[in-house]
Amino acid sequence: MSRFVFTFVMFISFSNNALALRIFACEPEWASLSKELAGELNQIESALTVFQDPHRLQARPSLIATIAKVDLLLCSGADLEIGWLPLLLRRSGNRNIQVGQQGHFEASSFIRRLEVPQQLDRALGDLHPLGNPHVHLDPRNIRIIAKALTERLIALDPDSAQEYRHLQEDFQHRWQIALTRWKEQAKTLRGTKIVTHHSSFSYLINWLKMDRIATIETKPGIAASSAHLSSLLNIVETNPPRYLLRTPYANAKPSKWLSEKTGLPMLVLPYSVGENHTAEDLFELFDVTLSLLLEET
Amino acid sequence: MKFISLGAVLLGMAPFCLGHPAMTTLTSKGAADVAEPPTSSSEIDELQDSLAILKTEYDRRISDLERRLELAEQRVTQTVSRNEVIAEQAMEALELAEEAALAPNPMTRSANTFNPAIGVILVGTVASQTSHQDYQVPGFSLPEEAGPVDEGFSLGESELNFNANVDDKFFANLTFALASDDGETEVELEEAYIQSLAIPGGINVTAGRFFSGMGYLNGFHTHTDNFADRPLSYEVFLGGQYKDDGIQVRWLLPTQHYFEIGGEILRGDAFPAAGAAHDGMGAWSLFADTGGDIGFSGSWQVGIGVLHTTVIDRAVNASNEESTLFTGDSDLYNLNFVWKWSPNGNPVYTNFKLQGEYFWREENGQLDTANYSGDQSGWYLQGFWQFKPQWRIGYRYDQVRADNKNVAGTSLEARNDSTDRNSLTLEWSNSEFSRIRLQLNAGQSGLENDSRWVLQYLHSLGAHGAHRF
Repeated sequence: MSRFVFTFVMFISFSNNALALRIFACEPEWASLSKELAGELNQIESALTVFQDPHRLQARPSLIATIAKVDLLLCSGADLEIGWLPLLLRRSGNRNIQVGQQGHFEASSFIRRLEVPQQLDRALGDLHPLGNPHVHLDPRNIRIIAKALTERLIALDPDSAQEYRHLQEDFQHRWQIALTRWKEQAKTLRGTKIVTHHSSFSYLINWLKMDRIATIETKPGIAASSAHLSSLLNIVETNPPRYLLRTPYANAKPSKWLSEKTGLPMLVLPYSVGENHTAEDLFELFDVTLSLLLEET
Repeated sequence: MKFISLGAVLLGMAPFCLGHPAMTTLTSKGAADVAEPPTSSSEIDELQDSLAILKTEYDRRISDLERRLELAEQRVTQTVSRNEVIAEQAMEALELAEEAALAPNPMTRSANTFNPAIGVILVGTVASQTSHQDYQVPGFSLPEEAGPVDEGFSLGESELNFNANVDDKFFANLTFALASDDGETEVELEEAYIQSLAIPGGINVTAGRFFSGMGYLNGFHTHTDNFADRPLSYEVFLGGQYKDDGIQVRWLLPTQHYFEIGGEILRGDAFPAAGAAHDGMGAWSLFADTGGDIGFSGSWQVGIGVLHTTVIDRAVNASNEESTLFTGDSDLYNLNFVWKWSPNGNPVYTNFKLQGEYFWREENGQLDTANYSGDQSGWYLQGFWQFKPQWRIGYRYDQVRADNKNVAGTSLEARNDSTDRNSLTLEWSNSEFSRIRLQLNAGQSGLENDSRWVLQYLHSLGAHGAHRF
């Protein structure tokens, strides 16, 4: 029911700390990370829900009003939000969060991005010249980004430095324990053949050393054509993958069709986090992802 | 460990017990003693001695064994802990290697990094119409650039856009439109403006040539429209799109809810103004917008606006082919709304947009030498539905009406109640960057029925800026 309430953004208002930073996360995974690293001290909002495609968001009036008042903007970067964020930034007139300012944090700039194209040509689809921006699906990246985020929080709000450091240590400790567990669980997934909808899962696949044999989209950002689907059917029948993977926001139709044709299981992985979603925080994101992947093996 | 060491002691004893000569002696002697009891004390002494020797020997062997076991245990412990250290170090090295591999790769920059983002829009049409008289809307005087798409094959406006942040405080944008006019290629400067990025308090200043903020559709480039032509009300009141040279100030109120007000002072050279009155400050506008969300799936925006222009010698086409000139004041009022819906707020696969605007204009002044007062209004309502990822269909209803005084014999003479038009459009997009559209219009030109169809492509190359709501 709460989804129908006027809460397109996850608006979490914690204790009455008057000096708290207002943090605006483009994607819900970063809102969740902020909650881990700054939660009790700050107000955190997210532009997107997990059911929305981060590539394509409407620059809604409500977003302009919200972004105008925040101190820290936290996004994936690497052009993931290029279709809507530059406009929001300009319309907001908020100096603190413009590109290059301390209040502008791009998570992907702290880690090694995969799939940096050698050749830029839109005939190859809607490419990301700076590489794949869906960086949060490798838990090792989260660890690195978390460190960078804490540094940024301290720079913006030095008075609370002690608390930020404490939260960072606590998070890193819990994350390390979880990471060890995930590594152990994921051993059997190595080499598993899969088909994905878009390249949204590249970092997960890279971490788990799975083997993506095809994507359902004809090209990045170009919907599956019937010709592509029939060639996909061929690939899948001669070299059967274990399952088809898609995000909650991806079009269900093509993967459903392929799943019905071939009897291959279709998994909707959490991709990100959200209230009333299969995963409510970053820990659950990987717990649920792994348990879904392992269930079907 | 205790248990193991006890076992080891027992094992260590076994060969000793079995192989020891004294023990063998003892065993055989014991057996003999049982057979025949000891006969003398010397024999007993001897036996006691050998037992004492045996005991000493045994104690020595035991302690020796215990010492050796202890040493062995120490060695084992050391080896285990050393192995643990090695394993730990290996793990650390692996993690370091992995982290090193995760270190950011540089954002690839090349020599043209600082060039502005360049975008090109290519538009081409083929169209056909049933009415072959000059296009007219009774009661209105259309500027030259307004009106429907040309018949037959033609290029629409091809656009060339450059934009970039100038520095940390300014953004700049330049757009050329290349249009064909009677075989000549005309270059028109559509937009050339700078915009502030860093004024505190939600103030945003734009200076140069820009699309006026009055009216919802006016701020959009025509290539982002959902139809091949602008609504009739835009054609008759704003010449399709109102842009002029001047300055615009917007203020985004610091409220939780979106509320923005803005105003402009403009040169007053472009239709509906003319003649750059008041020393080149012949037009001003005021507008306000508010908007919000309805759940996750819907968002809305509502706006009002007014545009006041002082007009000097704006040509009004007379039906006898001779122009009369209008001089006076023109006030245009606008109400607009837009509502967008998509499942869970994800517009990629399916979405719906409903949009409508109402215009009302009052003009007072001189038509050549006669007094003239005009009272005109118009509205449109359109719905646009993306029903499959690559397919969209739209419908629009348009209407304009005029009630002008003292205009007999000119095109301002309203010879009908109202002019209306129905439009239906179907769009196919292979990707975000390519669109092909078929549009059907059923309306009027003058008093004649006029049906048209337009087939159009709109393709975008290079950088493609974000779209407004």
